[in-house]
Amino acid sequence: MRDKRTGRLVLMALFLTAAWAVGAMERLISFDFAVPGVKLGLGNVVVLTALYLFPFREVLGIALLKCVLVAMTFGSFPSLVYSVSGSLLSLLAMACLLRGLGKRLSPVGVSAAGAVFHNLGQLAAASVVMGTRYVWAYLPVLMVSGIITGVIVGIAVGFLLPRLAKIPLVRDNCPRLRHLLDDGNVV
Amino acid sequence: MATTKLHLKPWDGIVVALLLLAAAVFFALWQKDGASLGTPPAVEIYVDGQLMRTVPIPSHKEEVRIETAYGVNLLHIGPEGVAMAEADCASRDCVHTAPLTRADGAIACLPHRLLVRLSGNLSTKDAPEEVDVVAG
Repeated sequence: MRDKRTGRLVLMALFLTAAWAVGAMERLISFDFAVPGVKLGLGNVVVLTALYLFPFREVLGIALLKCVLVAMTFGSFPSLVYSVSGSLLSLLAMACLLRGLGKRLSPVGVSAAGAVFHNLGQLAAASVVMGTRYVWAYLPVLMVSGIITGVIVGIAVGFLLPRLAKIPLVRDNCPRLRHLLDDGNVV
Repeated sequence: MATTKLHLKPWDGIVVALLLLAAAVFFALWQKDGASLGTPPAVEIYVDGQLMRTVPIPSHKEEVRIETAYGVNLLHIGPEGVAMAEADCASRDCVHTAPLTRADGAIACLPHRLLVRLSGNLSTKDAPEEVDVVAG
């Protein structure tokens, strides 16, 4: 019998790689139209999916390592501060929603909240780094754009989860996901 | 096993609606904040209750001379605040008024029927709460 822990390790490494690749890809797509810094937030597809598959602590590791990897390959130190702050707040919000309302929410609601809290975290970091509260003027615009992109990401995750559950590596290593899907709690 | 259709749930709508509501509330709050965010504040100079001049806050300290039929005032404006430097009246109370940093304060020079206020708060750290001072 194959070692469970090895399968899980492989799976999480794949998730981290996917998160990095999506984050890298997103940097190539210029999405700044009205407000500088508006992004699609595709990286959250990976993080939110991971939340349905793995325990919180492991997802935290994936999210933080993703920030470091993207910053090391494409970004700078300030961009690392923004992305860590946004990712942490977003992850916490989504984990709380999943724990509290997981049975009543589809990934769409969870993802929309996650996107808004990502913006909150980034603005908080920006206002500290730049020493001005003028940046908060962006918040309403970023919240609305975050809700829109969050819903898109949530739909993607909603379609992704049942398909992932059919992959043997996922099925064998993430009993959590199978239970959720069997109960009809996720999608 | 799960189908390939996406099932939205009522709480998705509730969460999205709450988030939109929060965005609207934040937007309304900042509109109410006297446009102190987004656009940098400017100094507004009123004579006889009429807006005479609007001067944007410069990055370095600058002097603004206000000459009216009632007299002459010299205003110092800069990122740290707005203060009356000189006035050719007897009491010179406006000169003794604390520098202005917030939109809810004002410097008044009653003999010259002059009022100076800010269109928004300056982003100085721990700016003191100002009380409107009416000079005689």
